[in-house]
Order: sequence, then C-alpha cells, then structure tokens
Amino acid sequence: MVGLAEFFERKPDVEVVVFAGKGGLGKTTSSAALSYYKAVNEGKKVLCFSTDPQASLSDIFERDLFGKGIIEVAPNLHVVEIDADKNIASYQQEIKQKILDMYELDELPKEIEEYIDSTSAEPAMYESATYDAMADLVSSKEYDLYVFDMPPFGHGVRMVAMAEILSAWVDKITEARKEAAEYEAVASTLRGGVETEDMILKELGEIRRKMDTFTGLMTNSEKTAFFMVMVPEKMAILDTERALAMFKELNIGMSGVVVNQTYPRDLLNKPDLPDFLKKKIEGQEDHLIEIREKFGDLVSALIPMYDREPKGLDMISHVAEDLMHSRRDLLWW
Amino acid sequence: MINIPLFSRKDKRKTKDKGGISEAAKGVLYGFAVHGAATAALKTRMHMEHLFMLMTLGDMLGFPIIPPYYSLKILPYVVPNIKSWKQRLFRERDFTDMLSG
Amino acid sequence: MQVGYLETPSLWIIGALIAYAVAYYFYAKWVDEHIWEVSESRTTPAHMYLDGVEYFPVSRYVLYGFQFKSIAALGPILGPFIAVAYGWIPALLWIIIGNFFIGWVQDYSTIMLTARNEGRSMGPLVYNAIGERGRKILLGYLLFYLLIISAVFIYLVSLFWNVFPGSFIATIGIIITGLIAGELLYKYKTNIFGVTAFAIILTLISVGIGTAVAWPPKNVFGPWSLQVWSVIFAIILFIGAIAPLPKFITPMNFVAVFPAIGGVILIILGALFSPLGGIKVLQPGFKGWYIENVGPLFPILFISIACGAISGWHSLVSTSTTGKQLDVETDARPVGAGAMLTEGLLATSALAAYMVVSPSLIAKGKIAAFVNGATLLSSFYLGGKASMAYLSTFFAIFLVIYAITVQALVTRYWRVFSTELFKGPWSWLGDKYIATFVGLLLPIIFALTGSWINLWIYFGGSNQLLAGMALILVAFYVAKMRKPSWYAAWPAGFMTIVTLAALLWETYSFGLSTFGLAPIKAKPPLTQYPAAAWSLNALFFIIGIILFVLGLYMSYALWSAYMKARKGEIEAKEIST
Repeated sequence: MVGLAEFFERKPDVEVVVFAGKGGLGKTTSSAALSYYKAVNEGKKVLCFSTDPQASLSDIFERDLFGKGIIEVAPNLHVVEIDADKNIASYQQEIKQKILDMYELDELPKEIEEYIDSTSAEPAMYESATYDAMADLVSSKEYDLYVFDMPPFGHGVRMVAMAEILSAWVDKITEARKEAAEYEAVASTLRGGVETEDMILKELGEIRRKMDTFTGLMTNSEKTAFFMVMVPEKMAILDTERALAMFKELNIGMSGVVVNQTYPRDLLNKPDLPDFLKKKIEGQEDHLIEIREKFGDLVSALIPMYDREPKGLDMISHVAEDLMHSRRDLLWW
Repeated sequence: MINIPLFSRKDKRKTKDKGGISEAAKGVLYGFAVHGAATAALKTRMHMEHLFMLMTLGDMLGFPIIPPYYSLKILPYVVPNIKSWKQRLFRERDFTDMLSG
Repeated sequence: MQVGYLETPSLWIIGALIAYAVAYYFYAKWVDEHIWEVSESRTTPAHMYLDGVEYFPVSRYVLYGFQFKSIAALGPILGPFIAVAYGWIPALLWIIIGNFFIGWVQDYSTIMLTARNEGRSMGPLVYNAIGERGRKILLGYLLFYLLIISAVFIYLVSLFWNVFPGSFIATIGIIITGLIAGELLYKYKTNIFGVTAFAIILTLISVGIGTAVAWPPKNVFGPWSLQVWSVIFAIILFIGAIAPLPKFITPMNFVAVFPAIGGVILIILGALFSPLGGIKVLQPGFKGWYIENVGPLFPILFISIACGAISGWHSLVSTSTTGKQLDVETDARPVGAGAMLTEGLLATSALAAYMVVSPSLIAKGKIAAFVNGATLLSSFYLGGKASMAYLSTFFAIFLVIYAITVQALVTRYWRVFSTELFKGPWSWLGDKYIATFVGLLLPIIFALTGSWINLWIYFGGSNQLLAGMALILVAFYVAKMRKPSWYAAWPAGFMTIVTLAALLWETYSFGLSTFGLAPIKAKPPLTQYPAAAWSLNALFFIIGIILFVLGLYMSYALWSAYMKARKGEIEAKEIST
C-alpha cells in the first residue's frame, strides 16, 4: 500500500508535517491536499502555513490569502499565507513604537531609526521572520496538525540549521547578559538599591523557550514528519539526493518522498495516445525505476499528473485522496 | 538594568546636597566603604555589557552578527546604553584608566 | 594625672590642624579661584560622558570618602616612624609643610587636570605632553613601582604577623568575615546596614579571639619565620587575585574599612586629648642630620613620610577615577584638598603615636613602636590597662588591614599592567596566573633582605618621584592655560630633586655593598648565605639604577615640555601687557 494514510497509521502522534523541495514541483499542492484531508475527512483542526511570496496557496484555494492572517477556508481547515516583507515592516514599526513609548520620546534618535530600517536589507532577516512566525504558531499549540509549505530557499532544510545557529546565539548573549546582571546586582546591593528585573534576560528567555519548543518538536520524529516533494525527472532526483544528505547531516530523519506529476502506466494502453505523450510517459519509466532504487521505502506517495491544474476545493479533495491512498496504477514497479 | 538618565534627564542637573550633617556623614561613609567596590563591579559589568552589545548590535558598528531579527527585540531595552557603549568602545583606553577596576 | 600641654602631642596636633585649615580655606581657595577659576557651570566629564560606569557625577561627600579611603594607606602611619628617627620636630615640620605646599596641590590639581581634559587619566595626559615614548616609560616605571610597593607591604604584613601574636588569627577572622559578608551581600541580598553591623561585630570578635589566643608566638617558624609568613600572605593574595572581585577582594575591603576608619579616629582623638591621659612626648625633638641605617636627613626625610605629606599614588587615583566622577568643578577642593589634608592629620596623629613611645624602640627600628604608641594614646580613654592587650591586637590588625587592602589592589594592577606591557612573544607574561605569580614572587625575593627601611626608601623615592612628575604635568597644563604655574612648578622641582637624590643615595649605598666597599645589607637568616645576600644587594643596586634612569628621563622630558609651554605663558603675558 502506498499513500500517506499508511504513514499516519504508523505515526499517529505527528503534529507537524513539513513539505520541502524545489519550487514548482508540488509542495504547495501537497500541503494543501494533506491539510484538506486531515481537516475535512478526519475532522482535525489543521493549520496550513506558507511563506511563498508567489502566493501559491491563494492560487490553489482560489482566494486571496496573502498577508491576510489565518483564514478558515473549509471547516477545520485554516490557512495562512505569510507576507514576510509586510511582517518585517510591521515588526520594525512595533519596535520603533516600543522605544518611543518606553522612553516617552516624540521621535526616534536618528541612528536608531536608521539601524532599524537597515535590518530589512539583511538576507537573514527574511528567514528569521519566517522562522519566528512558524515558531510562534507551533508553540501556541492551538492546532492538531500543522502543515508547513516550506519556502523554496535551501530546501527548507536551512530552517533547521538556522534554529541551531539562533539557539547558539541566544545562549551566548544570555550568558554574557547573565554575567553582566550578576555584577549589576552586586553594584546595586552595594548601593543599597533594589534590584530590578532584567527585561532583556526575560526577553531572551522567551526567545529561547520558543526555540526550544520549536526545535524540540522539529527533531522529534514521532511528532514531526518531513517529506520531500519531487517529480520523476533527472534534476529532481539529484536534488532530492542532495537534500537527503543535508537532512542526514542535521540528524533529522526524512520521513518520505512524495512523487508528483506521475503518469499512470495504464495510459500507455490507450490507443489514441498522442505520440509525444507516449514518449514522455515511456521516458518516466527510467526515472521511476531510479527513484525506487535510490529511495526505496521512502517513497510514501505518488500523485498522478492531472488533466487540469489542481485548484479549488473540489480538485484539492481529489488530490488529497491520491496523496493519502496513492493509485496502484502509478506504481511502475 | 542600570538607570542611565540619558532621556529622562536632559538637563545637566548637579547632584544636590540634601543638606544636613547626617546626609554628609552617610555620604562620606558610603564613599569610604562602598563606592570603590560599587565602581569596580560596574566596570566589570561594563566589560560584559560590551560583549553583550557587540553580539546584539554589532552590525551597528559594522561587525556582522547573525540574526538581526532578535536583536531588534532586545533593542528597545538597550537604547539608553547605545551612546555610552559606542563612546566607551571608541574611547582611548589606557593602563592608567584601569586602575580603579 | 595632668601634664602640661606642651609636654604632650596635643598642642602640636592642634597646630597642624590650624595649618591645614589655613591651607584649605586660604591657599587652596585662592588657587581654586584664581588659577583654575573653577566654575559650577562648566560641564565636567562626569556629565559630558555620563555612562553610569566610569563617568557619572558623584556627590562630593561620597567622593571625599572614596578619595580618602583610596589614598590612605600605610604611608602616613609608618612613614613618620622613619622620619622620627631624625627627631620629631623635623618630622612634624615636613608633614605640615609638605601638606601645605605640595600634598594637596598635587591631589587637587590632578583631579582638575582630568576634569579639564575630557576625563583623561595619567597615561593619556603624559602622552599629550611628551608623546608615546613617555607613556611607555611611565608604564615601565609604574611596573617597578608596583613591585617595590608589593615588596614593602608583603614584608610588613609578614613582620606584623610575626611580631604580634594573635594578629594572624585575627586577620583570618576578618577575611572570613569578609567572605561571609560577601555571600550575605551578593547571594542573599542582605541589606547593607545589616551586613555592616554584622561585619563590625565579627571584626571586634576576631580581634578578641586573636588577643585571647595570642598564638602563634613570635618566630614560630624558626629563623625563616618572616619568609614563611610572606609565602602564606602571597598565597592569600594569589587567591584574592584569581577569585572574582565580588567574592573575595570587594567584601574583604568592605569589612576592613570599619576597623581602618575606627583606628584613625581613635588615634586622632587620643593625640588631641593626650593631656587628659597624661601622655608625654618621650622622643627627642632633634637627633641629627645623619642617622645610621637610615641615611642623611636630606633627602631621606622628605621621602619617608610618603602618603602623609605627598604621594604620587594619589595622582593615579585622582586621574583614573575621582576626576571622572566630579560633579561640579567646585567640588575638587573639598574632595582633593580636603582628603589630602585629612590624611595629613592622620600622619600627624600617627607621628604623635611615635612621639610618646620610648626612644629606644625607635632607635632599634622596632615596628612595634606604632602599636605601643597608638595603644597608649587610646587606652587612657578606653578602659585603661585592662584594654591594652585588646587595643594592641587591634592596632596590629589595623596595620595589617591597610597593607592587605592596598596590596590586594597592587597585585591586581600588576597583572593589568603586565597584560598591557607584554605583547607578542612575551604575552605569556601577561597571563592571569603567570602575571599574578610573578607579581608575588619577585616581591618575596626582594623582601628576603630583611630590611624594610631600605625597601621603604625605594618605595618612598619612586612614589614621591611619581608625585613630582604629576606636579610637572600640572605645571605644564597650567602654563598652557596661560595661568601662573609656579604653585605647582616649585613643588614639582623640589620633589623631583629630592626624590632623585634619595633614589641616587639608596642606589649608591647598595652600590657600595655590591662592590665590597661597605658591608652587605642583610639581616639574619640571610647573612648566613653571603652569595645570596650579595646577589640581592646587586639586584637592588640595579633596580635603583633603573628607577633613577626612568625617573630622570620622565622628569626631564616633562620638564622640557613644561618649559616650552611656559614660554608660551610668558609670551602671552607680554602680549597682554
């Protein structure tokens, strides 16, 4: 039996599912389909999360979701498509306002304003903002299942590596801060003053807690599943191999591979099959065999090539069925 | 956090003598017994703070740091320290400055 | 039992007090107003660079207390002991004249220097006057200076522990009190007043235990007792230097403050009211121009009283901390001049303690003289004979505390300076542990000679020479301000000549011993090892040369800079008139 249903039977406690892979291979479709199935067919409260700036979730659900916050598109099916740029801008605004309020200023000191504005140019900023949004959602534990449509950069694997870098950074500054606070306490006791709570340490503690919850969850193979989405093509195979190696390096188990855009073998028996399509389907055979050889049991689901674009709830429900219980005629072996 | 009245105290008000012999005696005794130790503790703290600020806001001075996102979260709390931090970082430091530490 | 006022130290103390008052209310006021033209409205570095750490305005009372505590050490207490060898009249005269014309001038003016020069400390001030080489040489000079201070203080503490039975136990009691106080303050955040009361009570109990136990006896470790004690002291210092400040040194200093200030008050009161106790001056007024084992009155007298009349150490305190925390310029006089003149009073009172003991104690160079005198001066109003044993231990501890607290700092400075000085292939010498170890080992070796008076002369010479340099520096900046610089230049000239002469004298006398023209300077048990004794004499001869050469270079370079600046001063005057 092939299909994600079988996977969920084996791992009933999974709370987070991440679809990773190159852009345009069906990550978003898979995310939407799984979310739909779990929400509508199984009645779980699901959140489907995407940071794709091309607004592909909006495309699939045929609604403008981009930067609109969490929207329930079907019963139990909640969708959020983050506009990272907008988030960063409002985050910066929030920080500025906080400084103005804290010190009762009418306007920000110029260098501080410039510094805050300059951060949007940092490449890491975009990733951090996405990461933080994900971590925020997951640590809220409001949903039974979180489905992440990873942004295309670095296979989404970077997210996990990033978590490690961030944790190390938070640890280092927390340590420096704690030591400073110790001497601060010494000075204030000597001066007969009252110690005030160190807001920075509190803030750092919160960041750290959020990260811990998030990384704890992400690295727990009983609770989190990573799926690579690919298509039966040479490039995709090479990419997936590379991603597997990266996952291994980070000590994260890859839960499985979803092969998208597969032609059913039976199609070859159709008498009126156009020649070029026939050639294309025959060409897939080699790749699928290679996929089986290379990924073997990791191949968890196969999604067929559809006669139209997978859009709208109807179509999504159709894809969901295929994703959960893959058609046998897609198995070429 | 130490209260550095950068914003709340724009006027250069001098520390006022509160008057009274007991205040004066208290001050002298404090200076005699504690002030040096308190200053030393503050100085050690300053070195820690350097490290902390460098790791948090290093890119303000051109030292690349990794995640500006979380730096921003901390920024509001350190705003009053930024000016003095930069001052201290760029000030000439001499062995005779370290004597009171 | 009443005695005539003139037979007691009382009137002399009062006379000194009047002199200090005149210095403060007239001379210092005049300098304050006419040379520096202090103004409440001129922004001080404490406000200009306010950072809450180094630069922040501190009330003048607090700053006065801080300055006094930082400058008061063994100088004013033990210095008069050497000076009184020439008789108490030269000693008293020098303390008064030194304080009046030189002591406060340096302390006050260096605070003003820092206040007017963006909070710069000695190093950068010297750099601005004579450049990088001068700054480097100052650093080298200070390193030797620290070594000599360490040698003197390590030696003295060993001597105190050896001579006063029970003082070691009382010292340990105070250190333990410090450790507990530190925990209470920092770990349990106990209120500072509660900890203060606790510290005072435990200190008094420690002294009591020391007195009662009166153990170990003198020379408990046989002929090498002093050396063993100095190693024990070095171990304590090493721990203090390695442990985090708030764990060891800070709380120990905190606890030590109370007996230190208590002792000062007791001596001053005793000296002032000595007629009531019928305590007579027993020392002769004048003994001679040359005293065996000490040297000629000129220049030795002028460097012996160290911090009690004028001290270079103070310029380091003034420029590194006090000047940076000055709230308004008008505070410089109460803080700088006030603290120095108070120290002058302390030196005068300490002198009183030597005036009232038997001349033979002084002649034999017995360090117990101070303890005996101070006990005499305070026991008559604190319970008479019954309290004498307790007070003796107390004053022994009083000496130990001053030495320990300063030495703990000096050991730290040595480490900081080593890190600064030793770079590149020598950087291992700047390592925390190695630098501390070296900074303790060398002084112990120095102290082997067994003659603290010789060490003290090097200490006084280099210390007061530093004062001379600071004063030239003051004159340089005052001349650049186009104000009359004579008030600093004359004392600067005097101090430079007198200290260089003293260093030269001491170097000369070590040179004589080194080249076999005079007996080797050594005390038992070192005398049994002539080769070692000779090496030490030779070492001191070399150190003397180094101190003299470095000091001479600095003085010359600074003085030339001053002369150049003065030309500007004179030209400016000519233009304006």
